[in-house]
Parts: sequence; structure tokens; C-alpha cells
Amino acid sequence: MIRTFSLCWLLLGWLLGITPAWSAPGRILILNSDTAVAKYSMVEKEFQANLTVAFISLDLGGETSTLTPVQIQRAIDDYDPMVIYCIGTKALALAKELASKRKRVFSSLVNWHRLQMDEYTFGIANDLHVGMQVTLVRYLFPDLKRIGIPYSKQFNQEWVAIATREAAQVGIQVRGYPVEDSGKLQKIMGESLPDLDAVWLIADPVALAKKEDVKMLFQTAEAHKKPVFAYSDVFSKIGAALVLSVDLPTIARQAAMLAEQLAKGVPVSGENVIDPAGSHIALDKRKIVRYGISLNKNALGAVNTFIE
Amino acid sequence: MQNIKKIGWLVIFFLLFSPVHALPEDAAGNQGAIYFYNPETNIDNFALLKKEFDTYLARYGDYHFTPFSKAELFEQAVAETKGGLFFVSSWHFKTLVKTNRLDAMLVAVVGGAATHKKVLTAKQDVATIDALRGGRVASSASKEYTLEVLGTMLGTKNSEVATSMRVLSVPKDIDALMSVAFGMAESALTTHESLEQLATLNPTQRKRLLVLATSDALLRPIISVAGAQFDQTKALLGVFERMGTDPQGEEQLRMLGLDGFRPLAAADKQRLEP
Repeated sequence: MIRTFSLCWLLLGWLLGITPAWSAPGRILILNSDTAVAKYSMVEKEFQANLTVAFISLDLGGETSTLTPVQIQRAIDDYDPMVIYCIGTKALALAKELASKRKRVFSSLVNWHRLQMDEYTFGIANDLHVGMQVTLVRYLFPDLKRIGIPYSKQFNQEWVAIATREAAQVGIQVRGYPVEDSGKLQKIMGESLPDLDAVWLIADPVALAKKEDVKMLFQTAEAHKKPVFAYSDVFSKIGAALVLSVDLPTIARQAAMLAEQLAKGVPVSGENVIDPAGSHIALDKRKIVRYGISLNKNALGAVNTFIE
Repeated sequence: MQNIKKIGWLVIFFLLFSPVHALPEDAAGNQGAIYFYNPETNIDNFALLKKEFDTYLARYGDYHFTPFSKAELFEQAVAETKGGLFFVSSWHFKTLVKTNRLDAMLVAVVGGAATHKKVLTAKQDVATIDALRGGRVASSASKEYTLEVLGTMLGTKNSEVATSMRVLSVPKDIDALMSVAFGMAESALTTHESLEQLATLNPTQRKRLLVLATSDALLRPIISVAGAQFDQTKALLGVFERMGTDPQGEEQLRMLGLDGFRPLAAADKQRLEP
């Protein structure tokens, strides 16, 4: 009687499609460092919307997580995903620790270059290719000739060299200004502003170490009527005339494409880490007009937000 | 008295539980509306678009601009709204007219031209269309539009290649072209104008790209009306027809990659036929 009853439940389970995990093709496990972070949540939503294979999602919940590494390990072992998609540094670090021999795709990492890469790690970078950035700057400002970039040799010497080369292709001269201490930022850039058409702030932990020093740079640039371009929305609040950043939904779509390709066993040609394909442009049009800078009106369709 | 009470309760019951009939649609309220949806571009700055267009239109009357991000909602608006204008892709228009009464009134122009062409570009070392099989095609248009246009451009001979391509949706044409240049996609589907723009901006990058296929001339977006035109709708049509001659109006249109509108010519109407 009991045996017949158990067989009936197994049959019902089969009819309902409750099949062992190993029989479902192309499984992806999503590890989100913290869904309470809006950017992580947005990326996960778009990633899921672009998947055609099965997936499950785990929220590591930032500081308030109740999931233990043991529970996460069990979830990984039970689900047996072909690929683990890691949103944020915490997710990637944990995936590497708990599933070092499973393929991982990351996104939303601040500086992936500091990672120790291996054959299992793939991802989408979080910064636009410098060639893309200079092309967009030229697209918006057809008459711009000289841009100054404050940077530290320790972190960005190579980046500035690449930017100089790429910018030359679009007729822009990049002048790099080594800064050893953000306290000297205003003096260094202030002396140079008369010879520049714009200042470009890049992610540099030395040159932009202190908020007060950066604010003073913005004030000095305003006094000289020189626009400051930046890489993050945070600078739009203190006076950036242009913010060039990544388009997050596109990153999520790229991650979904890459994760599915790996999940289906299709080899990846080229680099393991891909640059973001979509840009997000925020422009302070009134400031540009006030400074008398020529703006390509045909490029207005490329602007996502006007900074106000 | 008892009967009056019973009648009273019946009335209350009727008011509470009878089916609520939708009020007749206030067609007058929609006369000054223009509804916008374009699957040929990946516009996501809706708040900005609405604000800029509403500000411009307010100069001329009680008009408002309503952009849509989803085809289903826009199609519902086309089916259910009385009055107003519909600013729609010519490609989408051909589908909408199968089930809706829509009359094309104005066509968008750029440099006076009501048509444009799409181009499929790849890196110079891509020798054949077949090399794009299974590859990523970057496009600022919707997936559906991209695959249909690709299918037409590549023809039956390369239909398998077209259907195998994976569409990577990006915000703008210039992103699509740079995706190929910097290795984020194997090909890009953009307008020919965008490719020419890249040639001006970054001649080095342009030289690295090869045009593998070009579409026939495609009609640009159109402004249409559904059914009868109310006076306010006719006046709004006039505002759009004159928009390209007004400096501020032209600036708003450039946000959509356009610079004016004109009435459809006979050749334009032919392009709208199935």
C-alpha cells in the first residue's frame, strides 16, 4: 500500500516536470551581492529578462545577510549550475571560494583589473573603453581641442597614455597632470586651466582622494568657465558639465549573452572580460551654453539626462 | 412604509453591486495628445523627452507628449484612444493599420530626406556574411525590428545566418558601431547616417569597418491620426509640421535624430503599403 502510494507521488512528480537538476540544460545561478543596492537589483532584473535558460537567484544581502556560506554551498551543489553569474565583488569572491572550478561571469565590479583572473572567470568591465569615451566627447563637442586629466602615476599612468593615443584619433590633445596628493589638485589644474578647453576626472584614488579638494577644483574650473567631465553621477551634484558612464541594462544584457554562451558550452573567443557596449550620457546643457562651448545639436539624441 | 424601505434597500443594493460601466471616453481630453513609440531606436530618456516636448508644445496650446517604452501599451492606446496623434515608426505603422484605422499625415525628414538606409557593418577582416553566423549584432533598435530588417537585407540565401545572429541591444547607433570597433560585437546594424557620422568623428575607427549589406530606402517615422480629426488635433498637426522651422522646435526634434516633418508624398505612401 505504502509502496504503491510512493510510486504514485513519483509519477505525479514526473508529470509535473519535477525532474532532477542534472537533466535541465543550461542552468545559471545568480549570486547578487545585495539586492538592496539599486544598481545591483536593476542589473539582475535585466539579466533575468534576457535569459532563455533556467536560473535561480540568491541574495547575499550585504551586511544583513542570513545566508551562511554552508547554505550557499549546498544551494550550488544541489542546483549544479553550468555558470554562476556574480553581481558585485562580494558575490564573485564567494563564488570563487565555494565553486572554484565552475565558470563564473561577473559584472558591477569597481576595478576588475585587481582581480586574479583564471580560466573560469569571465565578465563585463564597469568602465567604458577609453576610445569610446573620447569619441563621445568629440561627438558632443566638435571644437574641443585640449583636455587636462589629473592622475596619479601609481594607478593611471598607462590609462592616460592610452587615452592620449585614442584622443589623438579624434583630434583631441590629452594633457596628463601627475598628482601625488589631492591637496595639490587645485593648484596644478588651476595653473593649467587657461590653456585647456576642459578637465576630465578619471577614477583615481590619489588624485581625487579628498572630496573638499575635488570641490575646490570644480570651483576653480567654474571661475575659468571650463567644463569638468566626469565618470560618475556623483560629480553631477558638485558641478560636472558632462558625465560619461556605462549603461547598466546593456551590461546586464551582455552578461546574459556571455553566461548563456558558456552555459551551452560554446567557447568564448577573444578576451574573458568584455568592455561595456552601452554608454550613458548626462549633460549640463545650460552650463555648456553659459561657457560658450560649441555643442553638436545632432548629438542631443544621445543624451540620456540633462543635469539640472 | 415597509415597501418604501424595501425599495430603498433595492436602490442601495443596485448602486453598490451593479456593474460599473466605464464612462464614455472623453475624446476631447485626448485631442491635444501625441503618443510616441519607436522600435527603431532604443530611447530610454522618456522623462527628458516628455519634459522637453511638453515645454515646447505648451507654447501653442494644451498639448502633451506621451512616450511609450512598450509596444503592447502603445498598441492599446492606438486601439482605444479617440483623438490625438500617433508618432510611430513606419515599420510599425504597417502592422498597426492591419487592425486599426490610421491615416499617415506627416513624415519625418532629415536634411529634407524622408527615407534612410540601414547598414550592416563588421570589422574589415570579416570576409563573408557567413562569418557572422551565431555572432553578436549590436543594434539600437528592438530585437524584432533588427531581425526582420536583417532578414530582408541578407535575403533568403543568408536567412540562416540572419536568424542565428544574437541581437545585443545598445542605447544608440554610435554605441553599436563602437561595439564592433572595440570588440564587444561582431557586427552592427545602424543607419547609414550614423556610419557617416563616425567617419567624421573618428576616421581611424571608420576605416576598420566594412559595410557588408545595405537595406533599401526605408521611410522615416510618421505622424498619423486614428479616425476622425478634432480641431485641436488638426492644430497640433500644424505645430509639428512647422516644428523644423523653429529653432527650439528643431532642437527638440534633434533629440529624436530628426530635423523636421512634411506631408507625405505619393512615393512615401507607396512605401507604407504592405
